[in-house]
Amino acid sequence: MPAEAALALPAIRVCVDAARAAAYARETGLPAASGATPLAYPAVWLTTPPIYDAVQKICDETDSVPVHEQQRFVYEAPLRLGQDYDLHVAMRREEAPPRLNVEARITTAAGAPVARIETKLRLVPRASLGKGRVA
Amino acid sequence: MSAAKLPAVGERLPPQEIGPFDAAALNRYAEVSGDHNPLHLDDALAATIGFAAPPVHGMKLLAFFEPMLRFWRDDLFIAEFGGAFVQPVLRGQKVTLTGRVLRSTPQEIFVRLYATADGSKAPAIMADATLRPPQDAEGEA
Repeated sequence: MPAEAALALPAIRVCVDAARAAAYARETGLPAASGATPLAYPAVWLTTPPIYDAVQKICDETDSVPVHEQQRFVYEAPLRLGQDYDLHVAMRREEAPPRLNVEARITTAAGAPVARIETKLRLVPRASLGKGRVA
Repeated sequence: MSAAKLPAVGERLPPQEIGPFDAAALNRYAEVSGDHNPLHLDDALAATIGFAAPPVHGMKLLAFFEPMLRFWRDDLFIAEFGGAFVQPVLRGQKVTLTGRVLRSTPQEIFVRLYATADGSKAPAIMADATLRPPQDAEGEA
């Protein structure tokens, strides 16, 4: 994927798994039995194979490792436990500094907007690892 | 606008102390989140990058702002939250979460949030949240 180019992935069907949401709540200080989906829960979808693989491919091409720089969640409605959603993911590379922006729109299966997540990954050259901190 | 009392500009959220997180906690987060980046789990790798211990997943720390916000005002809808990971929090460090209302209108409340590791003057995470009061009736703003 060339710098400054955009890449859109085919829609990915995901589900708010109740057990996983409860475990995520426990690990982030929320009552597991609240019955609500943690606001940061969609972060788990960023590691699903289509997204992870696309990020990994870009890292391989640039001989870099991704460092999480910024994260944002924007909600129009809460995510419901057990509910299916579609993720519409677009990625865009920036050159200076090297960065990968991942934006995912979350919609209901019928297409109604629910939320948006924005992730900024700094692409740190592997060659620079070990020569100082990467934040 | 509902009868819910709006927070005042300048109001400080009750600070929360979280951590310290040990290796088991980082492993559990890796398992549930799917983020198995070895930087968070491997002491030797962290050392090669210059860290005294593996850094805690930034996403795990950011997520802790939700219970803080809910403890403060559970009657408000959290419409947006996010942040920048400015510097790492290392395994074994305590973290203090603080927040302050910067803008408060009947439509939305904007809160600035910080996560700061013990012994550090600069925040590890600079975050923010936008919350909305419940809307009682159609036509009310």
